[in-house]
Amino acid sequence: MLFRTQGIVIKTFEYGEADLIITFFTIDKGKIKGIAKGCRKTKSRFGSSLEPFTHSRISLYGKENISLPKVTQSDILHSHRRLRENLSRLAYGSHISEIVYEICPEGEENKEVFHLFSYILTAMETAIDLELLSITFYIRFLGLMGYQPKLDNCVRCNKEDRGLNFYPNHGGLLCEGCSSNEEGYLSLIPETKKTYYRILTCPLHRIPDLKFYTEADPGSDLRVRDELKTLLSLHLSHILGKKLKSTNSLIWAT
Amino acid sequence: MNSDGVLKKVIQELTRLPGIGQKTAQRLAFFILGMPDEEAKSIANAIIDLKDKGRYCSNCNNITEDEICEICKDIRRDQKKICVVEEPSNLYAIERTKQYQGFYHVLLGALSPLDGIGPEDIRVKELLHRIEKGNVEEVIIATNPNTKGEATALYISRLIRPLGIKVTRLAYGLPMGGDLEFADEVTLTKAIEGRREIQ
Repeated sequence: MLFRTQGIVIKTFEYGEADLIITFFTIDKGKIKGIAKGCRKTKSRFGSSLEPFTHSRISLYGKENISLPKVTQSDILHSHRRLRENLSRLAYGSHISEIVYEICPEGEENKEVFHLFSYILTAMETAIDLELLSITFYIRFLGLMGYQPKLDNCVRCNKEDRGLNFYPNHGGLLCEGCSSNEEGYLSLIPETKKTYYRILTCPLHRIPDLKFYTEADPGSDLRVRDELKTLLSLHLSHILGKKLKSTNSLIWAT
Repeated sequence: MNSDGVLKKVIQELTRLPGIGQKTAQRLAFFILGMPDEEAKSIANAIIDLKDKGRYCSNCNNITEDEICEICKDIRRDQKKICVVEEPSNLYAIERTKQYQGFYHVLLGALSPLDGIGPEDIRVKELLHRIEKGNVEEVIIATNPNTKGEATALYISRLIRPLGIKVTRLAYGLPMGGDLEFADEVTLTKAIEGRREIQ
């Protein structure tokens, strides 16, 4: 059976002498894998269309239940090549690709995630503040996938509380009464919580104008960023049960 | 073990090699069976020798029998140039051109953020030591023209450029003997960007 779709390359794996096993995040079939025969050869017809971050129109051929269909055609729609020409952009692009790879289940369509992923990759090609785009992706992606941390009320009793202690093992804030025997939390300043929800609801094109500080406390920018990064990283590690491989590259490549 | 078992064993072992399927392995096994004894033994001994004596050159990480490989020992080569490649097989591909007379440095891998492969996993530090010790004037980065190779090239260039050494990258573009209409957009863009005046 031949099927056509469009997808973004999120991971590649060298197989055999010149083949490549590619994981795409597609618009109508979610995460799928395919094998491209001989595509590492210099004169391969696939050219650079199967490089990471490339958004292509693809054709795959295989039997109904086959786990690894053959990639028969791939035409570039958007190469996102600037992400591969700059180390920082490459590291951030790899990081969000790995999040999609690790969290999205195989074969489950999610158009909203596809559009968000495509939008952020495109924005990362020219953006100055790559970290902000990465934080935005994390927050919006977790929301779309149903993994959003609970930062409004206590995650256990749902009581409104002024406490701002985030417990990664519970996926949210715990009020004073519920957290008496709990350890391992991250204290947040009020501006961090507000910024989280601002990023979640702000139109994507307005994200670059977002300010991380208040007029009353102009110096809180770095603290808010650090707290958001730590919160998201702890939350994701708890969901996955492991650290993402690309995390270190955000240090050596940026 | 009967003769059929011996043959089966050879076929089974040959299929471990890249690009060798069951049918090719069978054809090779029958070919080996028909070879003169000395030739077949010579192949077997060459494989044993490679595994017993083969090691990485302590200078450039090429495959060698000795501490230092033949290329590093060759004093006629241009000491001012180092060509950086990912694997020893890439070094042999460049040697086949007979156009390059400098030295090499094999990284034994490439950077890959997605696979968690960072600078400490490849031989970058050793390259920097060589550059600091010698009188190198140009480092030619010949990593593969893919995402991992590009990341590696960008990283090495970032480390070496501040030392005042010229860093160059192999040209990108169209493969010889190919047809323009089959080239993808990125390859063509790179070819246009890297165009040069006809002398």
